[in-house]
Amino acid sequence: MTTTAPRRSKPTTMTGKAVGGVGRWADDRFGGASFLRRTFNKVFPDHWSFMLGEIALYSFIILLLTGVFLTFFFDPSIKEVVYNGSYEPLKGVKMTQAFASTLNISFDVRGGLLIRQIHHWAALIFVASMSVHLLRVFFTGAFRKPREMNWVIGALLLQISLLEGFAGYSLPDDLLSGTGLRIGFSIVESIPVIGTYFGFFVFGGNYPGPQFIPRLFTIHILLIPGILLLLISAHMMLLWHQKHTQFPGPGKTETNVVGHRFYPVFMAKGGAFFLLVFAVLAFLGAAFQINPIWLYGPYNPAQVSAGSQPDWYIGWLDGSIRLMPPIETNIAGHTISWNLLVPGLVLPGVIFGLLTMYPFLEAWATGDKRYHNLLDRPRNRPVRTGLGVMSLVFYFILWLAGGNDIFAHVFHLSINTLTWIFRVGVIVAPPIAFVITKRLCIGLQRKDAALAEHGHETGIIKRLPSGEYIEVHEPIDAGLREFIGARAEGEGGPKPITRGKRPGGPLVAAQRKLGGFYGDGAPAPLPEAHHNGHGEHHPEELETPVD
Amino acid sequence: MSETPSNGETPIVRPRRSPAAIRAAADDFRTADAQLRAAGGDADPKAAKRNELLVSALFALGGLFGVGFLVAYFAIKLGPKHGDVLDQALKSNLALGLTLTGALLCLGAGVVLWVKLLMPHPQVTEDRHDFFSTEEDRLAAAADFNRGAEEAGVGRRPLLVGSLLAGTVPLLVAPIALLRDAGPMPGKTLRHTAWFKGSKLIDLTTGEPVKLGMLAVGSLVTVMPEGATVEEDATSPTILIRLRPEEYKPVKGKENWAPEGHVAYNKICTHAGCPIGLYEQQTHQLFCPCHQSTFNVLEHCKVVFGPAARPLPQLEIYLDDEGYFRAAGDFNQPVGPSFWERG
Ligand code: HEM
Ligand code: FES
Repeated sequence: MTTTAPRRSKPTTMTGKAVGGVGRWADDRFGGASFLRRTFNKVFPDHWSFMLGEIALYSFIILLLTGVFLTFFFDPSIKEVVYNGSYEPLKGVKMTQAFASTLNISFDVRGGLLIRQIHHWAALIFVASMSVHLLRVFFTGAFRKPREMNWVIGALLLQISLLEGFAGYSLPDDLLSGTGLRIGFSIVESIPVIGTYFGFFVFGGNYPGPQFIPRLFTIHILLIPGILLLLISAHMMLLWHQKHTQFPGPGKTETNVVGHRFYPVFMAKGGAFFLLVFAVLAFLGAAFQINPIWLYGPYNPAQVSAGSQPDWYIGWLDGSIRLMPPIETNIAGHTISWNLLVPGLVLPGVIFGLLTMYPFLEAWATGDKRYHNLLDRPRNRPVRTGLGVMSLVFYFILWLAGGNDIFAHVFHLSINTLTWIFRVGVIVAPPIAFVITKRLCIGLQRKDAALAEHGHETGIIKRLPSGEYIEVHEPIDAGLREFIGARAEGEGGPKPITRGKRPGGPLVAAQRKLGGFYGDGAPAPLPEAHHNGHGEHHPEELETPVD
Repeated sequence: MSETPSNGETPIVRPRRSPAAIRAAADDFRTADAQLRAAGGDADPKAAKRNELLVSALFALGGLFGVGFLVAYFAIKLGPKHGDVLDQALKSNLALGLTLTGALLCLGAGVVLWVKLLMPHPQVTEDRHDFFSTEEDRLAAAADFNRGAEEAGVGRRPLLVGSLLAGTVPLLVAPIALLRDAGPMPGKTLRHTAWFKGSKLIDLTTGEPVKLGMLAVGSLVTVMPEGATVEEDATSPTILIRLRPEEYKPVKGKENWAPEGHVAYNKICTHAGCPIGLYEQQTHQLFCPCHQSTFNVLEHCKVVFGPAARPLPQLEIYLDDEGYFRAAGDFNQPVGPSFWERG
């Protein structure tokens, strides 16, 4: 069979010719022109909150770039050396090769300190942007069908990134990182039955373990980055394939995407945003010192510095460990240290489990099996929003508790008192936060409804012929109405499931209960605007404006 | 299998377009192009030129910063020959970092302005196509799958499948076995420290054995057993505290453990293994900075606050004839954090 490659009219400009030439060459061999077309023309909706995930992506790329540079100079060995480098105050001090090489990167490799600091700042921003991105996805309901699996991938990414950050933090073998590892080893030891063996195998012996830093290095630069890369690719491919969600608004429906074309606008914006994220990280690395390991000194199992803190994203775990009461049991000759097991493994296990499975839990409770491409406004889902704020409060209190020694010092409180405040707070505050948030959401819905019905206040006071004074209200425009009106989805929001078939069964009963719980506070459809002569909307207004 | 999915997905294989259609498409493109140009600022050529200059200036400035970065790299030397090492490192860091920031910022801002001022960015609407397959496709896929399984005889030849699975199992176990040498068996490692009968107490900082009289009442020192290093024996560090002799309240079996009021407790926190960092002389409390466990020395290091669940183990010590402190043996219980086999 013979086929002839399709011919096209010739482009006229020089670049046009060159691009055309390369394009034809490539398409003759790989095909893909139609794929490219679809790619170029793919539409991405715009909203500032959609950039959070992008920040995470770009920080990851910057981590890869700076990390590779660091590997050229870092020596992950716990071989003991006597420091003889340029940094005077530590001359003659015994330390591991890992620590010495990190000093070397900081003081003898030009740009080394900058790259180290950018790497560390990027790690902090990476996890931070990922976390806020997660919140955006949660509160807007972007995780709903068909995007549940992308939520799961994202949740895994977060968990693995925490491990990655902890591994990196531990590599330089300074006093702080060694202390963190010691606690990590003890947490592993607290696992019933296999903990001791597991710890010995992972560390290559009793703590500090002769193999551990080299192993951690492989994990940090090869294993976990590889997994992250894989998961991030899957995350992006799914996003691409399923298309981005969008906020409700004029012209936006469940079955379309309104936004900018990928090429050139979105691509250019993305590229620019990468440069800007990089610029911010470079500025942080230039102007704000981070992890000055030369001040901490090398790790020494007999030393610890007061007020030492992990990186921010480990803080909540540190806090949960600090708050746990001293419980340990000894059953039949076996010790379980609940004081480490619960706050160090069980609690994060449960939290991450719930987090990862949340889309399925909510769908199960509400019986909602529909596709959702339009985002929720948080106020229109009072229960979900309440649960989210509740979890945030829980997390935040644990996080604060991780710095209880510092707060005690700053506020002249006894650590004892402060710890008790946190212990009570972490249990009492989240439910209160839930109730308040839910109420607030419902209040905001009422405000929306009033706005839709009566319009904006204009501040103009009019005297009616009857002598009565009224304030003139101007009806809200169609776009805004569409934005706030999308809350009801035409069906009054997700409905609690009513499965007639198996009326009994504790599972079904639980599901009903949960469904009722979720349905509570779901908004009613917006009331019609009062027609006072200005109120009709004109069909043109509904058309997509060109910005 | 249906060739044109009925779910609205554009088929990948398009029919060849007629020359007329191609020409029409090109015309369309030219009109669209003109419209876009108009929207993109070319309607006001003067403004467009100004914007173009502005953006180019930003790019050029970015380039200058880049040059500055290179200059800073070569001009600021590191190391003791070039001044204070820390100062030099910080200076170089600042210069490199700020020039890099400048370069990235200018390039990034330039591209942003390019998009905002010079590129048309029309809102476009694209339909979402169902990405799930049609029912026929699903059935067809299932049928294909079954045909394959049928051809391979998966259902008909259980012996084949069974033996394949059985043959794979050892290989699945192998990687786990291969990890066996990743570390030694714990054995009794966690039950022992480097302390032994008759070991002198060696001051960790000076390396000298501790003698009676070296410690003032109320002070403390970290000690190690003879011949041990903290790097190798991370659980051996022990705190020697001098109390007033009457402050030590002996319990049964520990009557003689405090020669001249000197008591020795393991320094590794029984919570998560941090070294105990602080001693509060007035209250006689030892304090772990990691999670604030607090131990009362006067009550045999009982936990008075915090997440630790067990007192710090005490080391039996005695004074030899020359006035040196010596250990009467190893700790009589495992030190440091708990573990399953601890008992
Ligand atoms: C993907 C997420 C990553 C995170 C969250 C992360 C985090 C960290 C952190 C917090 C440190 C301590 C930095 C410091 O000492 O100031 C570190 C060190 C290090 N990282 Fe990463 N990193 C990541 C990826 C990578 C990659 C991909 C590589 C290499 C290919 C890499 C190579 C290194 C090296 C060699 C060090 C130790 C050298 C030093 O501290 O100077 N990292 N990492
Ligand atoms: S390690 Fe001492 S309190 Fe946790």
